[in-house]
Amino acid sequence: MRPTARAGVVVAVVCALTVACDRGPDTPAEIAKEAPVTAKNAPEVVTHEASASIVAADSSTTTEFEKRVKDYISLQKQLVGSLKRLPDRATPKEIDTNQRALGALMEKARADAHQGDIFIPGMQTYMRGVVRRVLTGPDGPKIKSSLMDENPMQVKLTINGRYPDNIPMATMPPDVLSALPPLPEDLEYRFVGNRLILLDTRTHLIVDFVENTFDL
Amino acid sequence: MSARLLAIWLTIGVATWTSFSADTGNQSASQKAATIPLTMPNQSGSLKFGVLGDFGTGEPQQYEMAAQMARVYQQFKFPLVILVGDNLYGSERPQDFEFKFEKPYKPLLDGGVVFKASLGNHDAREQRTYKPFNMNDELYYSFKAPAESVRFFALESTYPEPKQILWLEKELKSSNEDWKIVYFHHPLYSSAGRHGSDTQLREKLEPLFVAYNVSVVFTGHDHVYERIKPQKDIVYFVTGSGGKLSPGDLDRNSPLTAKGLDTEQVFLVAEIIKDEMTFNAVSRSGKVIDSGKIQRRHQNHQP
Repeated sequence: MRPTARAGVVVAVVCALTVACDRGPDTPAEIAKEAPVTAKNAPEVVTHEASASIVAADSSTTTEFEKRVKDYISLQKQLVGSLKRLPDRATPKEIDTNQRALGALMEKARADAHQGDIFIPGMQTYMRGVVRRVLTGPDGPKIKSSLMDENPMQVKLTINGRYPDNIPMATMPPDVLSALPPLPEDLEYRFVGNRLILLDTRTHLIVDFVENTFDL
Repeated sequence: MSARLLAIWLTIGVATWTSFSADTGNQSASQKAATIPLTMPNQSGSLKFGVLGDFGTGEPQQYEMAAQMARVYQQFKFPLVILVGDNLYGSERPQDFEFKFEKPYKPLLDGGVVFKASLGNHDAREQRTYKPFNMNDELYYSFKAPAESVRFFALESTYPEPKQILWLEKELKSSNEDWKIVYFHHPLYSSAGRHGSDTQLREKLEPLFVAYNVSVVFTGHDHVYERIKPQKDIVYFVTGSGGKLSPGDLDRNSPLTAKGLDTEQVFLVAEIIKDEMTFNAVSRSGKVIDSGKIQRRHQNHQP
């Protein structure tokens, strides 16, 4: 290769690397996948005084929520029992097949599931209040920054639908987790944008979600 | 092409080609060289281990880094590698485990190296059931090292719920080992621009580390290598460039940094002999880009 052409190739490579060195995703494919708002460009927290105070959930609301969570887990356990048991040294293929089979059974068993089945209206109000209180507290900006780090803004949520395999999950700040009602194993809270979702970690299914838990 | 533009290209190109050639020349030389210039004691009976993070891309750079790990292993037989999360990127189909983990690290797996994983935000929860990650179906766990008085604590930092924090405090308190080493995904201290220090997590974890005599913490998430200056007597590492890389992401003026690299992938090897840990950080081109010794903490401030 002629020196000028080689130099040109090198400059082109340097320019390409320079573009890639921008503080952001590593490759064009990653850019498409990781377009969400990040901690670095998240808008300022808007404090709504009226919503900063929690509307405490009454005992019947929390009792009903806990019952519905328990019923969900009972159903999951029942369906797990109907599947062939995984061997001790299960291969990734066996694990994947088992998980998808369980997901299919759960989807069928809850074919009529809709938003609000678990997060009943009183709990939705309560959850919004909890999240807003944490995010408008003294450490609010720091907590929100943590919450928005790789928050997958553009995931389409479907009740009983599978969380996308290629989209990383948002990290949950410890202060938010400690404020929310505890969940049994196999269920987790996660954020997708400003929606708080209830995720079944065994099946990757979105069990329920609460809209607009904080201001973006 | 105008003469002026050509002159600019030539100037940049020659300067770049010089450094590029030096780099590739050294890369070729070191890849062909019989040994990597490690500065490890390599003593019989010591604890030897590797640290790797943010690696499972399946791309050539991961494979090249893995090849260097295999070369290091020929000289320095570490029986253990701890993984700081983001073990697989993108899909996690069965073939992805093979392509993004089993194949690149086959020489180590065949040599009996045990990988003990923690999970990052890109990792599905069922990785804990994947036997080669040796998580025993747990999201967080601790284990005694195969040599020396060392206990490792693997955390799940994407979901730091209260019961995990309580578990950690209980485990740290009850551990009698001289060395307590904690590893997880999100860095408490980092000078990288993309994520940076997780100060929320730091508030929860650092007091426990200080109180219960943790000496060293390994993390990932930021796709760079960084050794942080001791913070409250604890040495933190960001080892998040095992496959992924964020070139130019480190703040060159950060007061936190003892040593950093954001131009090549890196993995780290360490050796503990009694009260001293020696470490070497090895780059994808086979250079030792950081090395040093850490003395274990002796303080134990019970609250």
